Amino acid sequence: MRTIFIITCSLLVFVSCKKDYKAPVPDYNNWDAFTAAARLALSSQSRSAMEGVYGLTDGNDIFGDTVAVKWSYVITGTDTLYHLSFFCGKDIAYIICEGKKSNGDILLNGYWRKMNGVETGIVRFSIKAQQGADLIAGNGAITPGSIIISGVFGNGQTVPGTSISFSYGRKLFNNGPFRILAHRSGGRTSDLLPVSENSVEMIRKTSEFGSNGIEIDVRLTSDGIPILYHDNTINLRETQKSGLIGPIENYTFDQISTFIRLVHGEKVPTLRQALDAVVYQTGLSFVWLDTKYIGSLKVVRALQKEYIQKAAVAGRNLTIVIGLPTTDALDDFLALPDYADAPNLCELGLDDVERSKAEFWAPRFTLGTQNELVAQVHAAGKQAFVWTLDVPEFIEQYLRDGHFDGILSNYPSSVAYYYYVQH
Amino acid sequence: MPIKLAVLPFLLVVLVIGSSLTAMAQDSLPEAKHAAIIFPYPMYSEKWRSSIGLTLLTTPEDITEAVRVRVPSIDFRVLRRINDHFMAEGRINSQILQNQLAVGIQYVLPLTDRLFLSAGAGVGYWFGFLTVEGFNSKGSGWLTYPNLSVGYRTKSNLLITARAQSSINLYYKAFNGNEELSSGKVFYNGETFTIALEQPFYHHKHLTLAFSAINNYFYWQTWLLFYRVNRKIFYPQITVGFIL
Repeated sequence: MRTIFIITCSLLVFVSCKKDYKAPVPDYNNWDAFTAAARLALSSQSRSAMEGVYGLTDGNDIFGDTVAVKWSYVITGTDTLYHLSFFCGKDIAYIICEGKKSNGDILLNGYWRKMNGVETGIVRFSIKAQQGADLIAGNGAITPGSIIISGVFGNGQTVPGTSISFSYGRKLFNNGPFRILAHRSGGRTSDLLPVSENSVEMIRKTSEFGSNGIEIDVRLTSDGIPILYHDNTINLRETQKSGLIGPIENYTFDQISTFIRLVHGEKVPTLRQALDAVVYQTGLSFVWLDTKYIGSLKVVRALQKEYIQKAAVAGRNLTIVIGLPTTDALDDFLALPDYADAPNLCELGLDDVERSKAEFWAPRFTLGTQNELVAQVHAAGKQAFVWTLDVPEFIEQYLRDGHFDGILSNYPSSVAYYYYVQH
Repeated sequence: MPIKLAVLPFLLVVLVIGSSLTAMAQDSLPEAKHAAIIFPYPMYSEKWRSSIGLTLLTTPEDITEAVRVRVPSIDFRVLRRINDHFMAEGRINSQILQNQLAVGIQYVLPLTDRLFLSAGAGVGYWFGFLTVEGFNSKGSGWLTYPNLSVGYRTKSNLLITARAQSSINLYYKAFNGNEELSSGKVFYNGETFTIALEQPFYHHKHLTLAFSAINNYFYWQTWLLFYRVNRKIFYPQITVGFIL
């Protein structure tokens, strides 16, 4: 009996070995100088001037030697919020800041995170008037070394105290439109992001992570409403405890909306809510609707059509495509009366790309760069994306050796880094 | 974790060897009663001992999500006596798509007739490939496994082993089509804690039942699903084996 007791206790110790990882965004809203400063009101031209590739002179042991610095925005009501993101070359790190002006200087307040880990902390930067803030305001030419962003960063919730500084090097690489596509609207829940995958909140946030387009997963509720949800079943990976089990398609939208919350407390969005957020609240230019169900695509096609028109009316350059990951999805797509007019992205072979009249081909990254096939696609006037590329070394290689027009990743900040720092 | 900590098991080997000079290292019980493959029991007269079984690993659902690999892996182990204290060990794990060959050496020290200790180290080569629709991938790599085991034999001859094993990544290479990713960066990969139970099962056959808690940054059985992450992932594993 004693032996059984000891063994049982040992096994209990074993199963308790699993560590619960968390990477909460630190509360960075307690920098008095920043709180007291006026709201940053940079012109579009000034923001553009500030973007670029910067070298690190301090802090490179944590963030690497180079960062790509880029602005993004989100519209909330009548307000537009701008964020300055630093995409780093080490450990898929990024820094996201809000900006304000203070006596001719620019203050940047925010947090950093390493996406392949749980390390995070607060950052407090400034650009002195004589160290580039004047130039950003339009008073002179911006040359290498003319903008110095300096400040401190810390770990976790501690008051930051470690020095860091960035020196402007050159403009961001821009070789025509390149799609940095965020998987599940911004990244996986398992990567401990502050908002849930496939949520409206993530759609609003995804540009901060470097993406200019998103892939979202579409399913149908039992009453025929398209919603965003990835997995086959309701589970604790994606949702909080709800009491509902089985496929999400078994429930009406009202039931889902009433009883289910995503892991960070958000409601499961309808596709309409998601597209509404894309068109009216973000600067995203590409939406990939990954169809996760088998059945008629009519309702999805209707929404696609509606929001392409709404985007055009709003002056938005937005492409919305229906993704075709399987032959079943392809068959459902070909059953649409107007499929030839429906923008779509085919993940299958090139023959199927022709059948669906797809403008986009998206092979899995595990097949390699496939440059010859990509050249064929380009020759036909189409574009090719690769999915889902998460290993930074592979992202760098595919950008260097491949000819894809876009990369789908759970780490858009890593794609952004390797894309923008190219020469 | 600093790589220096990973060499602790090697230091323990040295300490154990030193302590063996004064240890009361003799067991009077018949060896056949203790046929075991994990339990740190010296091979006094047998030259070879082997076992065959299955290991079943659960992939981390928060990362692999809908892809849940629950295909058992064949687990073949062999021990070869060198002398009363040393034995060589070999292990083959195969899941067809992903496989590992490992060899190592164990130093075994009986402390009493019930309590045993062993320390050892091994090196493993893993490889895998997948060339079906959507995949043209292959990978391989080298790992080393320092380990330390404590065994206790109950009055009813149940052999209980607690084993702690480190894993150090020595080399990694993966191909997707023609794109190659390789790294010779040596890094501490994680640790595995195992509780193994071994006892007579049927006639002269013995059964091994082991529960392992694997905490690794990179685990070779998941190379196709995802690359190493910057935090340890927990993999529970169960092993059932029959000593041949």
